Amino acid sequence: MSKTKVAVIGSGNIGTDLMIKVLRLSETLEMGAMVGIDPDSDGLARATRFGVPTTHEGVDGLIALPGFEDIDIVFDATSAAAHETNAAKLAPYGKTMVDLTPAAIGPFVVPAVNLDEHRDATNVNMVTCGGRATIPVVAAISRVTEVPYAEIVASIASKSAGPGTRANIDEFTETTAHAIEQVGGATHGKAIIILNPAEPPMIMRDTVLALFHDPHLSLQDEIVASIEKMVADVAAYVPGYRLKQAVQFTQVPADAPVHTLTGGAPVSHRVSVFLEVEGAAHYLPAYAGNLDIMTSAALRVAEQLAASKESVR
Amino acid sequence: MTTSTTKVFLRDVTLRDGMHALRHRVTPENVGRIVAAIDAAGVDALEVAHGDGPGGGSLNYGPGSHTDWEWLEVAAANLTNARLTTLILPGIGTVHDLKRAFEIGVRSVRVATHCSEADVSAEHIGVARELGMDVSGFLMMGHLAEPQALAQQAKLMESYGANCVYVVDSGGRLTMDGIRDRVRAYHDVLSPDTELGVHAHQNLSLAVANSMVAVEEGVLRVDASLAGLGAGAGNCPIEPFVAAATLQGWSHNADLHALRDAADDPVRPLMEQPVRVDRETLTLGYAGVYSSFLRHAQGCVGDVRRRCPGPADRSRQTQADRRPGRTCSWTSHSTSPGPQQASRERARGRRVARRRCPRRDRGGPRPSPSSGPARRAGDRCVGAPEARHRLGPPLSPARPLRRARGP
Repeated sequence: MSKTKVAVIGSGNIGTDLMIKVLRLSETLEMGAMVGIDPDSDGLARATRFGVPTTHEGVDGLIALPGFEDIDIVFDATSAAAHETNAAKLAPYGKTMVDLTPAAIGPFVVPAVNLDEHRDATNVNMVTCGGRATIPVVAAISRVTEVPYAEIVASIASKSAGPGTRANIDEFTETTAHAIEQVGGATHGKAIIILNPAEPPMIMRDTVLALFHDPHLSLQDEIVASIEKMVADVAAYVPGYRLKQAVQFTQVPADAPVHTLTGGAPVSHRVSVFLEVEGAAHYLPAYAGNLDIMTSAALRVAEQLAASKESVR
Repeated sequence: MTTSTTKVFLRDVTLRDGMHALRHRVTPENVGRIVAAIDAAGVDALEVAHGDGPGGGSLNYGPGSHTDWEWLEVAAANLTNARLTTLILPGIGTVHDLKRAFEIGVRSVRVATHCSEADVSAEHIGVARELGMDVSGFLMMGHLAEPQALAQQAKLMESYGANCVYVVDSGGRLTMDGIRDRVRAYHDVLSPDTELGVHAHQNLSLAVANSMVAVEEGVLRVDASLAGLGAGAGNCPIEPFVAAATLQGWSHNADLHALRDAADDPVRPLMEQPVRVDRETLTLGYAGVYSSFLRHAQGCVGDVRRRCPGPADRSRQTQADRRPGRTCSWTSHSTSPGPQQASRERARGRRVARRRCPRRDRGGPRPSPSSGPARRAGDRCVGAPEARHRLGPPLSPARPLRRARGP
């Protein structure tokens, strides 16, 4: 079986890390092109050193590149606005796009949760780094019981937040909140991101806080089991993904005004899940788990999409 | 040097920073009363939102009793002269929230980031300027950045379109020199057309003095609140600040007597506990720790305390109870020595070994008060060893204040 050729658009932190993962880890994918817009970028220089065809003329350069027709899957690690342009320009060529920006043209895909539903999609969105880390946990809770409200707090090292993330921080909070609802299954979702400038840089931490109704205390063991299984499933493709502490439950105090969060649905308890995501240090150091969880998941999704295409042929 | 032409633009933050002290719980009726009182007292502007800005209501920061929009609408309805303002923290509040506030009548906004992360504010500052709003940059935890580094961040905010930038002492950690150096560093790099502001906290009892030093250095906009209502030990209390500014001969529009009445009547009765410099808030300021989590932390400790077999209320402890070295296994507060201590220590050892809380074993006997903490139904692992250690040390009355690493 020949390897599926892929291209990466975006020669920044995420694109470069993804390229390294394709080169080092994948048995079914191979790099067909690395695409940037800055000829001096470190990512393009590395690609050249690895013998990967490159262009610094963006998506137009990719389309003009010899061998473009052999590329099946295009990863987009640019920005939401750039992705809309890229997707439109590539539309006539029938490529499958894996979108690592918050543009969300295609459906949100979280491998451990809903990849099977979207195997035929031509454009899939990887949510956000915080979403990737936390939505599986929200889904793990909502497959046990209704979740009227779920909130995630992603804390990442300042050094791991690139200029794209910083210029469009609302895309993170809004896209993640939507995905908490659409993929995680919560009725109301909220996302908060914190850039932490501490030195040495902190490893990515994510907290999931969810409200549910369990006045007879019959669900807690099942929720813990579901979360622990989900964490193991995610860790299968993101090795640095782990529970930082035991899952915790607290009773919602009678006077807590949580109706402003839930919209009035009855809730009795809050579950708190504390996660840590240590990166594989392929490109940025290990603290940048936010990078690793995006690129690891994108690699996984692309491999599975490639496998389903292969089986159709 | 200040002269009789020195002007002060006062922004009241009772209903934004003060929300932290009220755990973001205040009725629209009280918001209306307070806004009307501030407005009638001649304060130039007032800020209304959850303590962490619109969108701050959350499990992480504490849910609000009402939405930001309910509060802002009632505030807008009770104003005649003062400017209605709010504060947005990128990462929590969004441009969408900003536009909604604008629709309600907010015409001035402060975009707040950590003191080293100004570049996350570009989008929000830009949109606010496009809407024609008065926009300030608000660099929180300003004591953590050296003056020149902070000024570079202020310069970024100015470049995005902020027409004012604040020196913000969120942690109540700056002394007068620290404020002065930062204001001077701002002057060195910012356009003379960019206004400056100061936001002080009271943890070291320096909020009024720090605000006055800032004005002496050329700052126009001063944050203050009725009765000092604010996170931690509170903000610069508006009544003594206005009194002092008046004695200095500075020009302002506020009516001291009306503010004095407003502080004592609508505001002070809302306080569930005094907003003051005490053991906890001084510790926060001395260590330079963000104070907005104070009430959360007290709430958590309250939960743990209720489960603790020792004295439930420290205020009822005797002096003998506070002897050093007597530490409850659930909080690190002192307990009276007695035969139960050994039993508790053994129980603690068992719990640590199991790393699971008693509730997990629902088939077994419920923990008795002498073998472990009484728990509220449904709580699990809240008092896990890690959590206890996090909560414990700062609350121990036996523990001396640690020396902060400082200059």
